[in-house]
Amino acid sequence: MKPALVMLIMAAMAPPAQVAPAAQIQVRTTVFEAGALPGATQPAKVDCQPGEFAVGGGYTLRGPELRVTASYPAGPAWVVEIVNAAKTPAALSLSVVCLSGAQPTTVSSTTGRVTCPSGALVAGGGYQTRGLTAAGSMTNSYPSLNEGWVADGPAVAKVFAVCVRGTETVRTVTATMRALAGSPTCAQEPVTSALCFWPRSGSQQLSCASGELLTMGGQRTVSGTIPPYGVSAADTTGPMWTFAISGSGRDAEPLTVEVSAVCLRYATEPPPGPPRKVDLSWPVVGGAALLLLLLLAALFATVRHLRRRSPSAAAPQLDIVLTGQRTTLRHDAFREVQ
Amino acid sequence: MTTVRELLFGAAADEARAVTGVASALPVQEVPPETAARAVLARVAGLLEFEVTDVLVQAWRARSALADAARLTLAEPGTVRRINLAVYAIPWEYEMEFDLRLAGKALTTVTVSVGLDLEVTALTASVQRGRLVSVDGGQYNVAATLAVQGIPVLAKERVFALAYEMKVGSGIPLTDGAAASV
Repeated sequence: MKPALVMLIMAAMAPPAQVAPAAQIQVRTTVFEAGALPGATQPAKVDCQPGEFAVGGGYTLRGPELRVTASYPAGPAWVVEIVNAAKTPAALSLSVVCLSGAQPTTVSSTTGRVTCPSGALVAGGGYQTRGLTAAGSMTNSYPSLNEGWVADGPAVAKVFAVCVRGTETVRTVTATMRALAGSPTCAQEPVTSALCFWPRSGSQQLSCASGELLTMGGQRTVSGTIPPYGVSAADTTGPMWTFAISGSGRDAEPLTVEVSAVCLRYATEPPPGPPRKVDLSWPVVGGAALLLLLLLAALFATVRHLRRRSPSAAAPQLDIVLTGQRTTLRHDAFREVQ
Repeated sequence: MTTVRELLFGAAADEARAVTGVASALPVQEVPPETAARAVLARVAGLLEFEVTDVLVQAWRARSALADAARLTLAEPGTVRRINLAVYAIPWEYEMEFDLRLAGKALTTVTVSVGLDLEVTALTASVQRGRLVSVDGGQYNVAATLAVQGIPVLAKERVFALAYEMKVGSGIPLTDGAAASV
């Protein structure tokens, strides 16, 4: 078919120019009270509102004994999984960055790195781990080349990326955070005389430029070691991405972390111009409509043919979201004989 | 050190049996049952990455002659108590609820239960400054079960020599006060 004719048909049949609603973000937060459930992972979740999609999220811990084992997107929500190692309840606030006016795609991988589909750029990402380990669960979680997400650490099991299309640019803003070790606390027992823990803390905030949308942030260790479960905040606070560490580890080396924030800029729609007058005679319109029908029929046949050839293509993603859990000791069946 | 995941799914045959059992118990039609079963089991396995002796220690902290001894030795520094346990037994249950979502759309909610029947026999242990500092002898029997939607799909049983399975290091805190002190 002649390209010029196709263009004419498309021009004749195109609806009036519409301005797409501008993409917007809203940060929604909630506070979760983690109960004192020994060893149990507790899921905390914050939802977007209908019509919104989660593109980023994070948490700020309010208890030193809280251990984060996962932070990831789950459809229109952000989930943070924690273990409370304290004997009393402790709180954390968690946030989700919700996008409206554009629909993102979430992809995941078990290799520690995931790349967005062709043509899409990364807006956020997260991870799940296999749970608690003595060395921590996650060390790094950060955007990779604007095209994907990377997460690594002692127990990282799955990495997620939230990908968007239609953005003019995705820019990663970075800053370097340094945290020196404080005075160590060493165990007094002779058997563990070499066991010392060095405390350290630090924080870094990042923001995007005017006209950009901050969706998520991450961190990558450049040198040293983040203390196990020492990330006390990786969160959107107001217009800033906040990353903070607080904890003790068996490493006295200076710690350097590259903190990043993901900033989106959507293409601005051109202002609607005066309505274009199309003056076409009836034979041209009739011919165009006939050709359009033929085109649609050919397209339908092609799609059916492709579906028959590749039945497993583009399988939708199955997510398993932990929504609740509890542990119980059955004292009714307790027995003890000395 | 054996984790609950290893106890339940350690052998390839166990995993295959669990997939078949979970697939038959899952109320989903939108995805192949085996695909959903593998995804659920992978998630469950991730939540079971803790040692079988961790559960025993939590039980001891909650209720045992060892916890009583821990409180006494913490109140009287310098004292050591040796405890002989002929039998110590208590069941522990762990219930998890999952939402299954396909491309963001909720399909169903699934309840998974893991049960551990813990039984320790012929144990001698020492407690000092609120901590368990040594373990001598002791046979640790663990019977583990996995159920989905209330339907049993897997059962395993194993016996451990507690002295080898449990590393006390500089002492395992058995009370809150002992946990706070280094």
